[in-house]
Parts: sequence; structure tokens; C-alpha cells
Amino acid sequence: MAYSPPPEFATPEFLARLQRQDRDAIQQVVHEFLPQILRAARGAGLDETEADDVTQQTFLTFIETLPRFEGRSQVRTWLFGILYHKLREARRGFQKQDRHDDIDDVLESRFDDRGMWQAPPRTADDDVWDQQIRRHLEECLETVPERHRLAFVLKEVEGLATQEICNALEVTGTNLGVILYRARNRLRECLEDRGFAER
Amino acid sequence: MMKMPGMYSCHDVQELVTCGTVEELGAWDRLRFRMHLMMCHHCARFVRQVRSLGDAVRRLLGAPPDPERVQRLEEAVMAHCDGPDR
Repeated sequence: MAYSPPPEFATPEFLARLQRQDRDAIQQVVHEFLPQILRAARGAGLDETEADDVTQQTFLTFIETLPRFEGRSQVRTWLFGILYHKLREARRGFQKQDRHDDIDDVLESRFDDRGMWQAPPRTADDDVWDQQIRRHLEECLETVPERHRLAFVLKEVEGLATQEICNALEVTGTNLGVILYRARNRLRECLEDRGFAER
Repeated sequence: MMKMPGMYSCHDVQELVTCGTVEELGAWDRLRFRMHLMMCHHCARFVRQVRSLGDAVRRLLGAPPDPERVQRLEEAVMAHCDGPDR
């Protein structure tokens, strides 16, 4: 089931408390969202120490910028947006570099001129796929550019709506589609290359 | 599989699934999508694999973080909130 933040967070009263940096309101937000921010930072490829540091920095910036928070986006989207900026500061891999990606060439080569498979996905027993995918997934995630990986994690793990991710990562819906397309295909290709997809 | 006029190609299906735009399709396009999957076992397999991928990533990365670590970070953030410069 999709995650829903506490309804109180969307009220004008709560927003006003946040804007005047009310301690209890901040604590509620920190308590609610810190685990999600920490998990997303780890999911985006940071090690534990880096993830702890970026998470802490995200909330400190959140607190400092609260007087400017106008409530146009949800608190959670605002936080993930700050996280994204912190990741961009910390790692070059989160910079925007979406013009060309090798995975596009790999995918194009799988189809003929009519758009039909000429190199179809290799057959695998679905049970075997399910059991073994996990073993290789962690390594294959390392092959996904960090920014794409973050978008993929926000979508698949944190369950953010498309528009929330677009706002947090400052991309259009079309760009996000391309990013998710590349992340999913790169992961699938990587797993298939490792051979365990074959029967 | 032969491509029929008005039907999605395998390439179209692959794009729809991996861009995550299937859920945004209207009723007619959703029907075209489903019909393609009924007739193309390669695409049906591709769709299953991509969905399994999402499930596997959620299992791998979706566990709640260690509560002690979370508490330590919460305390560090709130300590800043209570700091002498505020």
C-alpha cells in the first residue's frame, strides 16, 4: 500500500508552526521522515557513513530553510529535494548527464526495424529468477548511474508519485521516464548478462 | 510475432513498461497493451522480469533502517535545533 504522511502535516496550522521553526513540529517531521531519507541515501549508493552525514545535512538545511517553506509541495517532497541537492554536492554521479547513455544502444540492438524482438529476453524459470535475482542485484545496482538509481529507488522503494519525484529531482515527466527507462533496462540487462536468467 | 496495424510493437511495449507509463494509458491503449502481451511471450516475459526487478529491489533496499542508528541521527539533528546559535 502506498505510504501516506500524517494528514496533520498538510494543515495550514502545521505549516505555520514549521515556518516559525517550532521545535515539536520539527521533531515530528524528523521522526516521520528521517528513516525514509536515510534509506533513500543508502539506496542511492552511499555507504553508511556518507548516508548518515547526508541525512543529517538534509535535515539541518530543512530546518534552516523552513521560514522560506511555503507549503507548495509536500514536506516529504521538499525533503527529498534537499536530499537530492546534498547528493549532487557530495558526488559527481548525481549531476545531470542524460543526453546519451550506452544502454540506449544496447536496447536498440535488441529490436529489428519493425520494433520486434531480434534478441528477445533470455528465458528463465520465473521461480529461479525470483530466488536468484537478489544475489546479483546489489552488484548490478552499482552499474546504474547514481542519479538514475536515486530516481529508481524513490519510485520503487519509497513509492513516491511521479510528480513528487519530478519536483524533488527538478526534471520533467518525460525526463523522469527516460531516467527510469535507463535504470530499469540497465539493471535487467546486467542481470541477464550474469547468465542466471537462462534456463 | 507479426506486427498488426494499430498494435504496439515489442519496442513500444518495452518502452511503456520501463518508462513506467503503462499506468497512464487510457482504456483503449491499455487494451492494446494487454492484447500484445497475450500474443507475445517474449514481451510477457520481459514484463514479468521488470516487475520482479521492482519486487526484488524493494526486498533488498526496503527494510527499515536500524532503529538505534535512526535514533542517534534524530538526536543529532534535534541537538542542532536546540543549539546555542538558535
